[in-house]
Amino acid sequence: MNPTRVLARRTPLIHFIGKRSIPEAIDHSPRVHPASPSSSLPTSFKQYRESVANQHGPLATRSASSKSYFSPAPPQGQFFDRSELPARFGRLKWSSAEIDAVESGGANLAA
Amino acid sequence: MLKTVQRQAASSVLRPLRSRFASPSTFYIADRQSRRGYSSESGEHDVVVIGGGPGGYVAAIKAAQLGLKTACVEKRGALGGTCLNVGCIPSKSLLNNSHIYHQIKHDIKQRGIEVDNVRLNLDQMMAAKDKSVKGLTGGIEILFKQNGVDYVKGTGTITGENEVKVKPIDGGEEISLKTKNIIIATGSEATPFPGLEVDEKKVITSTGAIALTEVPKKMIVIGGGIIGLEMGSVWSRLGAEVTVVEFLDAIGGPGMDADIAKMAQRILGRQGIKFKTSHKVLSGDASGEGVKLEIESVKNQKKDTLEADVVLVAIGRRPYTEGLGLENVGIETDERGRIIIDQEYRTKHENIRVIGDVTFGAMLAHKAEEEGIAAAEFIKKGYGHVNYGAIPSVMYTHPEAAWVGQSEQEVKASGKEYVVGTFPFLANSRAKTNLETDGMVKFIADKETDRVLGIHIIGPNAGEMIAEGVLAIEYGASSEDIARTSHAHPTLSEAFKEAAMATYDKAIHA
Repeated sequence: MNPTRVLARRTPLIHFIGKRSIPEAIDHSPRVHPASPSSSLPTSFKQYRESVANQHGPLATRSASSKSYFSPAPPQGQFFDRSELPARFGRLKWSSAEIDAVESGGANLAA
Repeated sequence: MLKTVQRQAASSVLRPLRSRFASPSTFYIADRQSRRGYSSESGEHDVVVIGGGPGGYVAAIKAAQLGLKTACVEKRGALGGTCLNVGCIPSKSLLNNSHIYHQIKHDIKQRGIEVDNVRLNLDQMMAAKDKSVKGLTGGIEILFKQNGVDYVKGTGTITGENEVKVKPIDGGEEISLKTKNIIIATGSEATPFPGLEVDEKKVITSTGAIALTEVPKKMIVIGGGIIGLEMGSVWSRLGAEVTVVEFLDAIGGPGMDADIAKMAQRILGRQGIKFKTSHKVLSGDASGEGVKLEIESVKNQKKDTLEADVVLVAIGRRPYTEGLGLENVGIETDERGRIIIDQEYRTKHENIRVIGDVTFGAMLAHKAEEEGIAAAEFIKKGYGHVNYGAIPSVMYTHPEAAWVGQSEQEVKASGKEYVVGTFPFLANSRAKTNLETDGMVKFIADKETDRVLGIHIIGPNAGEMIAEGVLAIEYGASSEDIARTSHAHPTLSEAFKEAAMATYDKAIHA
């Protein structure tokens, strides 16, 4: 019994820390990959984000420090016009199959 | 141009994101479907993965599981990449079956089994290998179907930030895939040796080494790394006289502990493999019937000439980016051809990510798989995780060698105070009953905290046993944590426990 009691008092380094969850705050600003032999990223990463890159990735969680590079949101009180959105937000081009379906009232689908 | 307008007017265009982690992709799909319920399905993908190897196919499946419309482009005509088709899997088949052959010929008599007239049927051994490969690659195609991944057979070229053009392998018309995200997973290829042209018959890479049609009388392996030692072992067991030429003064892969490397060389040497460490290959001549290599000692510059029927070039692998179109989008590579990425696998283009051998880190299939999952999660959730300090390495020779974490040399170089505990398989009951007592388990732990820093094994089943070590490193275990965990008797894993005991206190059986 005594050895068991002694062992019961020992606190292992391994212990249950609960279910994994996504951290509340994530800084998405580009940093060096952990396996990279280099200690810095090429300047192109920053330059690209400062110029044109603003439409991809999990933008909703940008940190304050990286916001200026990434945020696609217009300033407070201003909004994009539909025609100014990237083409991928626009309506799809009608296919001939769809046009036929509309014109025939769907009859061609049953033909 | 931005305009100041009423909020109500704009809200119908820019609908709020439903999730804090939702990407514009999510918004896009939902919006499009609600507006065009009748529309035929959009041809645009959320993710196009270029490369169907362990990194690429896992990334594609994970992305699809996360609800992203995903395509995977592969030009080989079979999924699984180098690993499944011409690497890890076929070589494991040959390693396993050549070991059985060698054991029956040389070892089985001492176990009380007498077998006469043992002959090698190399064609059948290769057929068994091909069957394994076919089954596994076909299995991935089924997984693609089950998970809704579009499998595109062809050569993928990035032509724009949101476009991949695919030249089908059957010669059909070029296909354009529009996509919001691209994951590059094109892997690596064997690094050629200057002056020796690879014909995969006399001068071979690992690809040729799994497909020789006869056992060479003499084989030279240039490079004493994992691939060279594994394939050298196969052909040595099947009857070839194998000589390994290594520039460094020790064999083994990156991160292998020096004690383990020494022991591996000793054991493999006993099995018949000859080693020329600290030797460099000056030139090669494959114009005759065989191949001649001129080598020179790094220590005393003494020259020598080696001759063989077959030379295996195994000096490493390099990233494979041919035809990928990196130049079309200005993606940068470093001096070794690796695509430069940030901590979320992004290139300078936020939506083009890179995983596996073609970028930083160890060229290991399981590392690529982890990255594939993380990259897909970064796209969907904005968060992914790979612990590069807990990626195991395994050399599938006999006995196997496996390691995780830091080697003793690395810990010493870091200046950290440490303790070492070892346990030989010679003192393990199960190893003794199996008559396989070569090798040992070695622990390296922080002297102050007892936290495990590295685990190195050479011995039977080391590749399976290292999984426990990887968990220990991942969880930040102490050697005492492992030593006080019950391990079944009689098993090889008791050697693992006893090495942990030897690290924080003393082993019982040694």
